[in-house]
Amino acid sequence: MSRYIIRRLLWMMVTLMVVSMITFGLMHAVPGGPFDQEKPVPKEQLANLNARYHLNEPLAKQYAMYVSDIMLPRYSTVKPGTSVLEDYLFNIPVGKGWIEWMNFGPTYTSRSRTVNDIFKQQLPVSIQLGTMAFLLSFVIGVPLGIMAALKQNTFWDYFGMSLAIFGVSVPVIVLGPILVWIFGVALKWLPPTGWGAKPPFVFGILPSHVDANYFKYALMPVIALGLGSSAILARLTRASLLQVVREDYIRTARA
Amino acid sequence: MLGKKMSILLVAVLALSMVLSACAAPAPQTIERVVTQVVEKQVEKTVIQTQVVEKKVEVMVTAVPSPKPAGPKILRVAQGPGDIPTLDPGLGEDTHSIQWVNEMTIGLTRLSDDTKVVPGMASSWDISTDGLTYTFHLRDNVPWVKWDANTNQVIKVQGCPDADGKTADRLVTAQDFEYSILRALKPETASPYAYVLSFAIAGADDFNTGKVTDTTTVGVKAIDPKTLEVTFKEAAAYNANIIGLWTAHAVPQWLIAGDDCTEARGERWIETGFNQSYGPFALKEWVHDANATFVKNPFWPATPEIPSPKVDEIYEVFLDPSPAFAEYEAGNLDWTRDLLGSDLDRIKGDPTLSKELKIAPSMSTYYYGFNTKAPLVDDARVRRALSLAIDRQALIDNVLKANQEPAGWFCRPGLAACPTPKDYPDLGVKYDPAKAKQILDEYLKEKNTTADKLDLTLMFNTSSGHQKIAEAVQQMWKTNLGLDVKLVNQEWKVYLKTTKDPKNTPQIFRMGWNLDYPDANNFDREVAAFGGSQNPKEGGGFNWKNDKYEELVKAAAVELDPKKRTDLYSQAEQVLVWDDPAMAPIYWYTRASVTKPYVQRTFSNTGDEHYEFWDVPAAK
Repeated sequence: MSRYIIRRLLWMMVTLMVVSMITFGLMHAVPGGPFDQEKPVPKEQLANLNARYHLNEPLAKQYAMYVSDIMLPRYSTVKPGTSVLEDYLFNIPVGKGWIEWMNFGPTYTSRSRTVNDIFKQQLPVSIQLGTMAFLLSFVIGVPLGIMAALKQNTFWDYFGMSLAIFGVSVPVIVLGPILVWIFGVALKWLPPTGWGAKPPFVFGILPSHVDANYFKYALMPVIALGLGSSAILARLTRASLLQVVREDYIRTARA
Repeated sequence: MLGKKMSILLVAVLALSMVLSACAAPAPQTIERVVTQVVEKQVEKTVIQTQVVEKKVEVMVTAVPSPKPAGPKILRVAQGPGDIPTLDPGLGEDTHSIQWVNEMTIGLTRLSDDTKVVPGMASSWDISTDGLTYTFHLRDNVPWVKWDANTNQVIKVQGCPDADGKTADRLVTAQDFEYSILRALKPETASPYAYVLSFAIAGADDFNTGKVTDTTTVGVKAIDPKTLEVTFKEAAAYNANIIGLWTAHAVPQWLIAGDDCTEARGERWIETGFNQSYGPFALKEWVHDANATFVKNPFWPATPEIPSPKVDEIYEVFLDPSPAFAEYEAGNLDWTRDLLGSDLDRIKGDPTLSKELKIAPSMSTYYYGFNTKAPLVDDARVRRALSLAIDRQALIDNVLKANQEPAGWFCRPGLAACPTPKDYPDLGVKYDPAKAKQILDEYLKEKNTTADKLDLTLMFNTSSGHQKIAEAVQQMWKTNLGLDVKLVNQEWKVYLKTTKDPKNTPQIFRMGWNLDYPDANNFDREVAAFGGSQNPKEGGGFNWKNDKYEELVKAAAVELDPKKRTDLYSQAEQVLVWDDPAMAPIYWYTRASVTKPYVQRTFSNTGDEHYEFWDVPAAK
């Protein structure tokens, strides 16, 4: 088992390397740079910008710098948090300095943020939303599937499966605005946009306050996302259960 | 298939939703402030008796239970889409950043809502006899402030302690402005709008391109904390306008570079917790990609042009136009703009929403430029025919739908010195298909060819909006002139390169221009004239040099009489769009916005709103 996990992890590393190399190369193959705009940019200024982001270096060197910033930890006596170009996700104070690890680099879109900042601020929200949507799809889908299987060909079966068809056919981009319109705009029960938690997050991913307000914001997005997968889970559960229920050992257990 | 119980439940939900949506929103109450705020803390009679001599009047009022103080006035806005790119004045380049930079910091001069130059941080300025040196006299009572999360209020920033350990408030001085302008011009800062300052200020160009590193060669000097002397290259009419550009607003040097008692924050100085400003509003909290909260700066000394804000707080949420409008309808936003065309039809038809809708001019022009050296369009007759054959009003009515204005020329009426259709009714180009056909036929006869043999390409940057307009114009050119024009589109960054490439600029290309500062010079000279951003010296863009036009815009730049100046620009525009056309102007932008009836607001033509004039009822 552990050999299997290690092998999978190694393959993941290789895949990541290849994908990142391809993406990196493609970004530089497209004509036009990140600093092109309608207004004229003086050549000297462009040179400065390129030097700041190391865009004037050979491509292989840029890629090597990128990967080493992410993978290799380094020791530094400069206090973390001041420079935008040297911003690390993990800073462990050791003696007079810090061991710093994982710098994904600055971003072109903002001069005061780094890619790490974007991760720290937005990844937790996605994790929270995704986890809740998954839990919802499980909580709705599995019981529905079980009921449909056990009471096959009755009302519950038809009801469960029609709900499943609905969930699978209605795409999120249709369900979302409908929910927003009914509950947000017309009834004004739930807020149409926004999220109930903001950075800083507990352990980097959990919301700092969980109260009724948090769930008010979360309800519609979680339903919109969870309904589709719950439908699939329901059908899957029903089918698997039906298969197992007919097995001989079940009949024996009942007897 | 649904059971009977389910159907009844569904009907009940639908009926309930219809009933609830018809309920009117409760009318906002105005809660009167009671003057006796001080007394609220003293309810025990014994305390008051000891002060009966000083506060005799209040004794009588203590019998009345102190009323609940009025809630704060919170204005909820959405100016997105997307996050504010930066709050650093030197780095701002788009309307979202500029909106808040203009509220948190004030330039030496400022633009009023109707685009007139008024005093900002400089209460007055003297102009030398040759028109080149401006001496600005600054106000000396504007402190730097920041939001203090511990006490939950805006506090004044303290300077470093002196020998006795005492600290004083940091005030905005001329040295701050000198530092900020030099910082914006420094090549290392890579400020996208420094080029406007380097066009105007003496010595700024060489400093900005790195040819010179000595800052004393730049024409900006702080004589003393209250006086700033700026030397310009030309005695231009718009000098006072340019020095008020957001790029030249003051930034806190001690916070960016650090000093004895302040830790250097570098480029992160604008973030929550560090941000320092001095304008009518200060930053309380900025949650990237989500929302931002700005609070009233109580230490902003109200000036006649920039009063103290009436609202206590502005809460901005970053949303795309569609969810922003959903929030507006849900009652969570007090106003919104950038409405989608599909929503506009519904708004105009709705009785409540149509009253809340206002369509105001926006200072931008949309045009189709010509590469005047490319085959076929190098002949002025072809260009004129193409321009005349576009039915601009039909485009606006059927494709654009936001009451835009058909553009007769390039600069946008409303800018300083730009001719308006009211004053110049015969200026520029208007839809005239018969005349267009006549001009083209002349050309075809001379070249002994027919319209369908002409090979023309129209290029635009990829967007569904531009696609619709291009298809409509392609149809107009086919119907009115018999031309078969090919449409090509490219992604924006690639398109920018193509349209500036001397070899590849297409015959007809779509472009727009949004003002940098509200003066016709920005459009006519800095974009269209030879060496301008759409007409580079190295070639590409219009590839156009017309001596008469160059003369006219140079003269108009330094002409101080407004009427004469507008006349000069009208003559220049006639050359630009008719005599030797470099472009076919299509429409002048407008901005549609909806505002709740309880908001007292002003409308600004400059592209950003001045929230210090707005008022909303207090929160309950």
